[in-house]
Amino acid sequence: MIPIIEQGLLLSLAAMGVYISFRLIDLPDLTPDGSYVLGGAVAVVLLHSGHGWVFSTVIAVLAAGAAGAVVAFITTRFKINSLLASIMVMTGLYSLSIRVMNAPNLPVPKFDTGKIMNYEQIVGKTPLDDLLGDVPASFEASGLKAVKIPFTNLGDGHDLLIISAIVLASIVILSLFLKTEFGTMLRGYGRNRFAVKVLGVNPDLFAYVGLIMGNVFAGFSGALFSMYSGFADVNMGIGTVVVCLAAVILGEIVFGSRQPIYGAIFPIVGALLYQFLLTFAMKYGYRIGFKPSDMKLLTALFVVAVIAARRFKKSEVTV
Amino acid sequence: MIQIENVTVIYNKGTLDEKVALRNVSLRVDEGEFVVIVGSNGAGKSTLLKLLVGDVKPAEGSCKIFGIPVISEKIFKNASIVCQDPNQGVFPNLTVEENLILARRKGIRGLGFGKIDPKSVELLKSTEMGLEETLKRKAAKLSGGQKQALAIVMAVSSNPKLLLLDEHTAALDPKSTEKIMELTQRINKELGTTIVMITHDMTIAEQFGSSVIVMEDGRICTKIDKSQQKVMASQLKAMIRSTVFTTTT
Repeated sequence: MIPIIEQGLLLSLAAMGVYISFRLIDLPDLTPDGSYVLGGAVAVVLLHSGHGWVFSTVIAVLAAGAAGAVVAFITTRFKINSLLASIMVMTGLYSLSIRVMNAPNLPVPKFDTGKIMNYEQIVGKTPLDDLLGDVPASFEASGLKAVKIPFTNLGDGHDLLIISAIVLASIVILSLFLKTEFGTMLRGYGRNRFAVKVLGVNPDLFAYVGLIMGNVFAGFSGALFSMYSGFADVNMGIGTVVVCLAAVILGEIVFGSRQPIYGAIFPIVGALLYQFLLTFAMKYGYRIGFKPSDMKLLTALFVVAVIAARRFKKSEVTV
Repeated sequence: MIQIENVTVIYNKGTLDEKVALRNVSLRVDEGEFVVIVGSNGAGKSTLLKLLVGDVKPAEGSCKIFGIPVISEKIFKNASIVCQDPNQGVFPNLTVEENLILARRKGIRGLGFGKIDPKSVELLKSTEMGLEETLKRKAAKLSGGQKQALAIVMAVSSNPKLLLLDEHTAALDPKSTEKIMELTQRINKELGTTIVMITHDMTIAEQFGSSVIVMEDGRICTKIDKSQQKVMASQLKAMIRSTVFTTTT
């Protein structure tokens, strides 16, 4: 039960990013599929270099935010649709993440070298040799300290408390930001770019801010999830946007026409619900021939079904 | 305030679709004027407005507002525009209060929590459309007339020197049109805001404009001020009507 909530909360951060791009600023962005991985890759590599988990996460978040800025640049400067721009950036990030990790995946180090070192200097092997995360015995023998990450997937209440605090802080900061005049204008930009221009402000500014914020949350989620699960993998981002979109839609269904804290609550409630549905499907689905790998197909079908149902009801859909 | 000299605007220049939208147009609008531009479809009214906000650039001639050439990004620092579609002037997903908070000044915002300007509420009350009761309601929930009234109040909340109106009553019913036009006139008279308005409605042009400009085929046929209107009211009506209806039919 606890790991389900923990994973749901971690997913909710990425879902918050998708909510910002798809709903708040109405610039559909697929980059989170790549920036989620980039966040994880940068964080784990920095842990390997001897940095603490907080610093690693901050740099990972900034790297993911930079990916959002690139999408905004392509969209605004070259007038390319944000979906197309984000597909190109997302594809590029796949290679970049492998470059960052120097491998398709990388385990979170178990020992701290106390100084910046590359992976091979620490482990004495290439990352591919350590795919299973086996720590050489020489580590302990050389008197290295264990890397301290305050949350791992042990399933105890301790992790849940920290992850909940992080998500709560994120949602408070986001909702306070959206309440400010700048945040209000960002929300307004999502529905009327012309009115922003009439107020003497360049609307492109909000494309940058919104897309950077969206990817910051995706990178944040990726970095924390990598530390939580003990590895970063170049394929862990596949389907992130669709899963997050499903979470956002689930949240919208739960709250109906109400929009507490500008809808920032939708991704959290939706992601938790999604994670429970996922677990339920994995636990009981095999009885009807369901496999865990079918979940992404079902998620995609769910998103299409909800959009189709809303169109049928002629209600407003911005996807 | 506005100085347009010998401006020619050509769309798709050098292509098969080349179209001359404005031909050697010259116009001067002084501070505090309420200029109404009338003309049939394709006469060049909208292009003239686009020229004023920097959306089109002249192939020949010059266009200056406040003494400086028009630059698209900067024009709205001192000017506002209200368009035909009531949804274009408001943020539909924000409350009326949030709309007014944003509209009270021009330019980029900080991370403070804004407060509504009491003057905006007074202006809202003066529309007599019950908007002051809807401060906490989303703008999307307002009627077309209420949205347009809100858009005008928002447009003048930052005290712009110039207000551009692009057929802003075209989508409204007669009752709403009357109230919106009364509000428009008050803005011109009480706040001293210079107004340039485009309309198809001849009655509005005759009734409210301090001067009327008649356009046809990309040219300004005539500019008649209010004093002339009084003297030659019937001739003016005939002139405007014949110009507009001849071109339309």
